[in-house]
Amino acid sequence: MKYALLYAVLLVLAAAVLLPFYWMVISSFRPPEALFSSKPSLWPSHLTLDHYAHVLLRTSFVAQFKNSVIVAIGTTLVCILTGSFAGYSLSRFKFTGAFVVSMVIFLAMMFPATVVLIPLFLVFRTLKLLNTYWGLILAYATFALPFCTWMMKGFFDSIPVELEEAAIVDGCSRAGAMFRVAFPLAAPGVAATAMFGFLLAWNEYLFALTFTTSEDMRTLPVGLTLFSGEYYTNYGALMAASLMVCIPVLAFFLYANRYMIQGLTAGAVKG
Amino acid sequence: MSMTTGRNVREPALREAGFTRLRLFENGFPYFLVLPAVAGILLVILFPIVYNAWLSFHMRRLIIPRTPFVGLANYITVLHDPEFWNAIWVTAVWAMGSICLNFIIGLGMALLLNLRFPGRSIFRIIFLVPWATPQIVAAMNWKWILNDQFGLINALLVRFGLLSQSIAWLADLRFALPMVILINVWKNYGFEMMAFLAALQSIPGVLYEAASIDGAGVIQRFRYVTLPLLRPIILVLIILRSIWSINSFDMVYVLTAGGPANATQLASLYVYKTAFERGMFSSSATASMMIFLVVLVLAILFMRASARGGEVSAA
Repeated sequence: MKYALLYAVLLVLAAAVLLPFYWMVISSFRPPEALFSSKPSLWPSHLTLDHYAHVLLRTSFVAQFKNSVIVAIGTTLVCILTGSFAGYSLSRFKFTGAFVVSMVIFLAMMFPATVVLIPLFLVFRTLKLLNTYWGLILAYATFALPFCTWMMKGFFDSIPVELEEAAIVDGCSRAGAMFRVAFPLAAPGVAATAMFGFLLAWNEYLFALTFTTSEDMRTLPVGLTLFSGEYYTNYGALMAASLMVCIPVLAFFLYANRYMIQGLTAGAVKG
Repeated sequence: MSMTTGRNVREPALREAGFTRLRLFENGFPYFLVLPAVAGILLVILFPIVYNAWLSFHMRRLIIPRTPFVGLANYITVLHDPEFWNAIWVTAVWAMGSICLNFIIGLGMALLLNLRFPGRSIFRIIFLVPWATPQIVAAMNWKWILNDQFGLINALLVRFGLLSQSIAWLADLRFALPMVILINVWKNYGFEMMAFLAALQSIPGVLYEAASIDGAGVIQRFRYVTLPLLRPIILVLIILRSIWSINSFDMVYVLTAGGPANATQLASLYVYKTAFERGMFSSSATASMMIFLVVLVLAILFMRASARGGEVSAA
């Protein structure tokens, strides 16, 4: 067993990394008397589905889930529609202002959310956009739009322009070459970008906290923090809700993480 | 992924196929395509930033409709606020801690996972799980694990005799900041890990063979082959992580809300609380302008660093 030592190290590390997850899963199935014990057992015992029933039936989890889905899908649609065309244009054409647009988009991916927080709050309050889906979608566009545009530009950069040239030589119009050649080839890229746009919106907390105040407009991340009471927190229900929030996220990420890392580091790695 | 090279390379090819600059200008097609995105960016990013800058030179209160021009008064107020300097200090410690630990752990894990062994891809996925977890879920999860009465960590430490009694980790002046830094590293090291892994895999094996033939040991191969080739990505990762550390809000706000006694009050929390708990919108806008300028400088450095590495790209 030449790998024995390596596996021992890896298993210890994996256990340390996954312990919080294990504990979240176990806690979500434990009845209160096992949960709130000063000597908690490490192994699963007395399992129950009560917390899940409680979260689904007696809290606003389902309403918050709906809000999160609507806002995340809205953000994704808006940003993919505008971002993929802009990404295509920046990837394919040299036009006056292209450099400035690229640079602004690039820098926009890094600015702190706090710098737009107060202006957006004041504008939304005037325009009655607080506590609306559109308000959140607009706010989420501040990070999702530059991100989607840049990621799509990267995907189009990786598709050889010769294919479109061939289509045009064969009588396709410029827009036809874009729609019939480039976009179908970029479909996996569009899918990956859409997933990331969705997740960015799904996980967002600061804007949701600031721009929604009514109970029925809360999104899931804000909703999770509301499980904490001042004196008592129903941790069983909280862990059950947390688990339900992150299952779709984990599935997405494990599928699509390679796209993001590639996009982020390709340049630096090659150099 | 390039800002300039990609297009320059394609330029002659485009011209051959009839894409003269003139024709493109005539139909305005490229402008038409970028217009919606540019309009969106002007509307939701540039306009708010300009408005924020305007606010920082005016006096704006939540309930008073008038906003008189006050010059640099807001900047003077903020710079005289000890809480602001505390926030800067906390942010500096938080950023340094996050950068160093993410770097060391990320590189270590990448080196480990770059070895050849059966089941490697499964371990890669396992070690990426924290990074994929939503911030708020991770924060709530750790809050439960670190709970002073029923938390797993305290129970384990007491059971193994390492602690005589439970500690309220997140409410203790000594432990709160190191704890939120550690939790943040647990959440984020996966990014550094994947980036380093990608970089390690792009190093040709021939180089290591050559080094071995020349008599280099494991440590020498790391020192003289791996490290120099990782330099571009190291710079990029350090700048990116400092930007993300300065920008981060969710994790600490949910874990400690800046407490105890402002021990974990990051600059971003200071901005949020100044506006929405103290109602001082102008001071808040002013503080956020200063953070923005720091991040802007870092972002420009990042652009330069990755451009030097060959091409410009980012998340």
